Amino acid sequence: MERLIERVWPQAYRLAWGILRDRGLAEDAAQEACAAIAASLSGLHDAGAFASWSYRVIVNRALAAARRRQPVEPLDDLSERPALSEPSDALALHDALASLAPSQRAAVLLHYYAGLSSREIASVLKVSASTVRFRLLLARRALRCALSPYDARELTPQKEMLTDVR
Amino acid sequence: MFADARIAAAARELLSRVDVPPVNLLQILTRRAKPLPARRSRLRLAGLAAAAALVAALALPAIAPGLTQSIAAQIAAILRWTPPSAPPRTLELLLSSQSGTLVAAQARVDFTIVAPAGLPPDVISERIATAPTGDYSLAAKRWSVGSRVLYFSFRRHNGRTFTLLAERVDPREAPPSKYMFEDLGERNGREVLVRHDRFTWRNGDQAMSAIAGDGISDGEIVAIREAMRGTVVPATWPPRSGRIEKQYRLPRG
Repeated sequence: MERLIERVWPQAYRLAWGILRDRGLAEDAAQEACAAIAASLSGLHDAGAFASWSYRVIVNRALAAARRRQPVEPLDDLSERPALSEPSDALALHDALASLAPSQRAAVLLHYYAGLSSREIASVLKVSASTVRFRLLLARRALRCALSPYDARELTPQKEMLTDVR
Repeated sequence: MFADARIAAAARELLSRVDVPPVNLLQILTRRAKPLPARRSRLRLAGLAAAAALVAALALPAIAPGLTQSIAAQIAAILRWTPPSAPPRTLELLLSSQSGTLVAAQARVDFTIVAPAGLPPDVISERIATAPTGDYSLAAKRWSVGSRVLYFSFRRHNGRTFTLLAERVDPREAPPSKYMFEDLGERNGREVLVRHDRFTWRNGDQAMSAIAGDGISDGEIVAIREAMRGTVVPATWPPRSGRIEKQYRLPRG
């Protein structure tokens, strides 16, 4: 069990951080998620479903932490910013994600980081696939604006619509 | 498609640069037996008279109590009870708790504290705190700050927690309800309520309540009551109305 937690931990923390953008909250949510995964693992009969199931646990814990958080944004979250070379797509993405709601961030990260389809994300977030696609569409618009200083040509509206469904 | 690939690459780079703190296995394993994830994420609580907030407070300390309008009608039909209007925000702010020792708690409450006895052997005392209740007068239809009650929070070896609530015997309140209801949320269009037994006993002018659940069983509560030589306060079902209804706010943390 300890080995499983050690293996899940980095992914859990990174995903929670991506949603919460706060180290303390992310660590707390990731710990809760790992604890829940450890406690509930025996109830999971399909080993192939582990990845999406664990994502669901992690995201749910992170979103619950986001809901509990006081609605006060730090004046400057540079201290929470990972070490990135400037300028870079990753840095632009970091800043663009700041403008999204936690549930939108979750959808973006599950799609672009974890590689889940909109249907799989829908299952994780317990919303319809069309809601996921809509959230991704809005998120992609925000990301397009953020990334446009680097290269606007690559993100056209047409491509945006086509990439909604996988 | 390159746009998607570019965002995906940026996402991977961004998260790969995040400094991951070392895993704290001890803390995770201590938390391990907390409620399961998805099923409880939508927990809402229902109850009667003092029940609604009390269930939330005693059974599910991490979940804020609250009834949404969409389920209130269903719950009222099942329980034959309608929750009072929500307390004003100004009152909620006055219900903050104070932690401390038993001696400090005694100075804050208006009844003689009889501490719990006969606890299961794996129980660790986690917190002693007092907080005022929110009292709703059924006649005046108005909220006010009530007297302080005392919360004993405990943790089991498996990480589960439970709370015993001690308060002054209040003749304005209805007899305690025999059951508490935990709302598991909507399943196939219907609210799912889980019934828990509630136990109340008296020692002098102190009334102590406990709700059986994940953290403590019926038998363990009875053992505590007997070890304290408490007098059983008869519970009723269906519930009766008193002159006031109380909202309890479990200390966080």
